[in-house]
Amino acid sequence: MEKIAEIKNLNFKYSQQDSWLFHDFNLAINRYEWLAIIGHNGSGKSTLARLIDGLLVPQAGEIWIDQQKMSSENVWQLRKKIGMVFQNPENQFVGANVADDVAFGLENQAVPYEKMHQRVAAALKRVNMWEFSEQEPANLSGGQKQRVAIAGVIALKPKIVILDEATSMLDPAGRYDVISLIKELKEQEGLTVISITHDIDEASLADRVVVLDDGKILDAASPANVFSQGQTLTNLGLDVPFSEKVKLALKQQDVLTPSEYYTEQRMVDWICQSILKK
Amino acid sequence: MDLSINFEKVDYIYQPNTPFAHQALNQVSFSLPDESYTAIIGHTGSGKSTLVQHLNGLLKPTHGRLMVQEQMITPQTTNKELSDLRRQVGVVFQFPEAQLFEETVLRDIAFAPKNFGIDEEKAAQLAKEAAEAVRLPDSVLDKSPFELSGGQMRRVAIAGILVMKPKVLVLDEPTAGLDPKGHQEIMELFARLKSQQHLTVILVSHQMDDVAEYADQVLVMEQGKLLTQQTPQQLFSQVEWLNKHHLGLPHATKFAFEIEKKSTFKFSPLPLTVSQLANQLANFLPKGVSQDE
Ligand SMILES: Nc1ncnc2c1ncn2[C@@H]1O[C@H](COP(=O)(O)OP(=O)(O)OP(=O)(O)O)[C@@H](O)[C@H]1O
Ligand SMILES: Nc1ncnc2c1ncn2[C@@H]1O[C@H](COP(=O)(O)OP(=O)(O)OP(=O)(O)O)[C@@H](O)[C@H]1O
Ligand SMILES: [Mg+2]
Ligand SMILES: [Mg+2]
Repeated sequence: MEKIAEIKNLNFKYSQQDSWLFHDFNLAINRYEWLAIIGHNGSGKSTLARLIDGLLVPQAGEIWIDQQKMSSENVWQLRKKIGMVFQNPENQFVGANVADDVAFGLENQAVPYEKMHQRVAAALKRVNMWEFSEQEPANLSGGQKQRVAIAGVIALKPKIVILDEATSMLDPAGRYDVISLIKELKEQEGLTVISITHDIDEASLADRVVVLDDGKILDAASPANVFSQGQTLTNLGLDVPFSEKVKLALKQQDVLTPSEYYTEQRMVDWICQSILKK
Repeated sequence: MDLSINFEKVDYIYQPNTPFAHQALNQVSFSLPDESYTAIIGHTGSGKSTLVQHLNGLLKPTHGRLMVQEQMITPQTTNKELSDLRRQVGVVFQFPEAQLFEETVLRDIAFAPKNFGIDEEKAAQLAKEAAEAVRLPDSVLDKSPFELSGGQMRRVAIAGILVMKPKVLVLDEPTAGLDPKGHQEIMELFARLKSQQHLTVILVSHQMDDVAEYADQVLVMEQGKLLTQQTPQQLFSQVEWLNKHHLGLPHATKFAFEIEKKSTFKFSPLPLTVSQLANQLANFLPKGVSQDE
């Protein structure tokens, strides 16, 4: 499969750190893939995102974006292929009002005025924030800030979208809308999505889940595969699927539960059938 | 029952008399008893953060008034009158960075006690205890709070409030950014502190599972108005009403509905948590120890 991003033998630590956060780290991301990254607080997820986006420079190793090796000469060029929604949207705002803010990235790419205006309006409408276009970003609610940050990225029409806990402050309906929107754009425009999240439902939508632990990849497989390893996930401080939580609670009541991993749907079916039989 | 908090027809208007004037609270009235645990839910922009910022007088009502721990807050109340209240009401903000400013993590957490006149050594001791309570590794205590991961910053912000030992604990989406284990530990910590120290807790949350697990009542906000005040059990039983207002259900409740749809089984009462779900199902399922152990 064709790679859109590749990290090879990378070493990285912050100047304040005594030991490597990433040591001899490798990860390849396929074009059009939806990759979820999960891991405990401080495991290196946001750092990895900033390395891929060229905001941090590794001490050793290579980062390839869309067939080009990142260097100090081309980093600005390559960054245009990537749209990143930061963990704290407040770190992202530069414009005096919401519309300017979304336009800022496009100005950088020298998109003509007329087209820019259209794209800004379209992006803000997609996230239901058009009516706030004149508002100062600082004066928005938490969830509104996250929506504007997402609009800023979709207006850019990047090849790679990195979402660093980008929906953490959205209400359940709003979160669903935003995820559906990203999915739709992925299909329509051929995006590659890297989603960093603590939300197991969001991670379950991915083609592949990477489990990061202190800068090391512990697992990289399909969601079904990763999330069926209940005990390992719990030991890492991560969430298990709801079906596993139900199973555990039933087991504690001495119910004879299936030993293999069941999806939520299958668990419902199993319970319904078992009730009938008894 | 003593009242901890009482809102009377509170309006709040941002940037009044400008083209950006926005009424974020509209005639909000409610009261909360001492030692209650209240969840506030509602969509993005419905006024939750605006509401909770009134509880320590960070925002003052444009019209109306409120009482918190026997302190009246009106549009005319001055900050000076509120200094006592601010020791009693600890607010964890939605964005933790907004709350961090000291050079090191430890000094950041020790700020409030020092500010309240506790000597340096004792304040540092209290700060260390609070850091441990939120499971911050020792290795970060001497770092700058701005050189931490998002979840670590969140823990520092929480520790900085807990160390004040407030009587009223206000939490604005306190677990956003925490990993699942941290999420559970910190929610349990709040619950434990509430019962040990007799706190009144107000939690703004989008996580219906937490609302179901911890709150004894729920305020639902919509476009600046308080729609209803109910127990979680009452609220989550009204599925049509929730759908109409685009509000979510706890996971266990959704799961229970799926079972009811596909079988003749009827839950009573409707389960809100996994343990309630399992309790009702267990007697109708085969018992025994599974082969794999
Ligand atoms: N600017 C910085 N300077 C120094 N150390 C840092 C900096 N940012 C993060 N770190 C440290 O690097 C490690 C990885 O941080 P990172 O932000 O990548 O974690 P994360 O997986 O995104 O965590 P979270 O889930 O909490 O957001 C942590 O131990 C953190 O303390
Ligand atoms: N400083 C401000 N100036 C003008 N309007 C503001 C300001 N702060 C908030 N608002 C507006 O007031 C409304 C309520 O905001 P608030 O932050 O209370 O919402 P919220 O319920 O906490 O939402 P979220 O779940 O997204 O955090 C929003 O429409 C917001 O845009
Ligand atoms: Mg992070
Ligand atoms: Mg808010």
